[in-house]
Amino acid sequence: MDEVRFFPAPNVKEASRLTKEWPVSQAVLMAGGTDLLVLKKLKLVNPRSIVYLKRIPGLAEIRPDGKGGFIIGALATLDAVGRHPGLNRNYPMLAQAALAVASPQIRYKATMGGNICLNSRCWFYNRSPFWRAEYPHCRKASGGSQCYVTPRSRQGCFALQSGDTVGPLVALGAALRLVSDEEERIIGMEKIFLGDGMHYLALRPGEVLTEILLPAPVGRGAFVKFRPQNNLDFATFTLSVIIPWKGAGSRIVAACVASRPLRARQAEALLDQGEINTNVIAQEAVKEFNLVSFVRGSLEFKKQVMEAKLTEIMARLKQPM
Amino acid sequence: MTPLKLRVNGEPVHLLVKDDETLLDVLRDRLLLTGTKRGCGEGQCGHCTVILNGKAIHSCLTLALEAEGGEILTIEGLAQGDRLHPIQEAYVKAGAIQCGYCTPGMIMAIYCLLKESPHPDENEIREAIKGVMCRCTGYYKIIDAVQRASAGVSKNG
Repeated sequence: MDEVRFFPAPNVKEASRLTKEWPVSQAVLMAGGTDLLVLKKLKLVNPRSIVYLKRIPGLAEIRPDGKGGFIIGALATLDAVGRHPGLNRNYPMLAQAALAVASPQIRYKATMGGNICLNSRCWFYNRSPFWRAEYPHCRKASGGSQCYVTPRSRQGCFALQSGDTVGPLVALGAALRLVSDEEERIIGMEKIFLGDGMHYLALRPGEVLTEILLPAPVGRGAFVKFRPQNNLDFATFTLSVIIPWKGAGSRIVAACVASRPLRARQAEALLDQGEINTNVIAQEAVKEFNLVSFVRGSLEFKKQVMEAKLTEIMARLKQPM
Repeated sequence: MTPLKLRVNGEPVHLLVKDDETLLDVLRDRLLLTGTKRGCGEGQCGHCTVILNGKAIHSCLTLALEAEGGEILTIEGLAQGDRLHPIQEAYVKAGAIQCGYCTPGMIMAIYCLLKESPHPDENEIREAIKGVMCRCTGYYKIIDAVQRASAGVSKNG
């Protein structure tokens, strides 16, 4: 077998160039590596070149943008984000989400950029080669022609977007700065997810996520990460709700239940129109999310708990401070 | 193979490593520091926890080359000669060792906690040791040990 090479990139341009030197999927970007190295051990990712980002100077900074918002460097660790006083003051839901990820050991290494770009996960994908041999037709794991989650689907992959910080970032209206050796662009947090488990990110070859741009906070927010036990698990679902201090612009976001984060736009409109019964809004939202994947919890279970949790946090948010 | 330079328990170490060799493999198989245990290899059990540049991390999910120029502390580096570290002392007194397999990882996670917050409350302790699994399930003795250690650390300044 070919030996894997490790390239610490001195800057973003060089990282971009290094990944382009190799055929697609043979070069991978690595920041914290807490997800990538597991995938490598399971032989789900088989890189020949690992481009290491963490030595790029300046990318771990968290700083105010001067317009009331914040800029988070993609290499800021989840621990740093979760404990940052400014972020805790302005975006408590984001700090909570960062601290809800796995264990302290993971959070000291794992980065914000990595949590956003985290590979989509599935019951039939994140398994040992031995286990996977029993399900040889999975589209994501072995390029087969079947999906074991939705056996009747003709195409597509239903692996779940799994980063805990994604929901709050969508609710907060964050944007991402993507840099390659040739160009630079800014893309909205919702647009980066393509909604397919296999091709889940709109990153072009050679593009590196460098910064997360947070606009000034517009309202009160609440975040819930639900998992059956308070353990290290990925979320069964996360809910992020924002109710603006004045005017319209409520956000209701469910994440970790589909290949992209989901917004309930009609339920948001109900919330904006001043609907008082939060249970009505929650029911509408859950209907709108239209869940399909039974991974990490059966559909009925997910829907019921989600409705209850949504009702609860919206009622809490609507109470006067 | 790539040359690697780092400090392990205060000693400078120079060696050649494979590019995708994990820090755990280097510590255990090359430096023969077998105090650090190999568990699940995917960041769930936490038995491979070591301190890298002051932070507790999973050595099984860290490439050795990531630690280039870094400072590593393993369970072997805690005791001063015959004198146990206060956390180890407290572990013995509280009977928290039990089967002992999770002990090295657990103690390194606790070491990191007490560095950052010398007097943690029970919730902080629970959160800090969340990443290390004890299959004897005797977590209460471990929490007791952390509380004793925290008292001991303050007594010795």
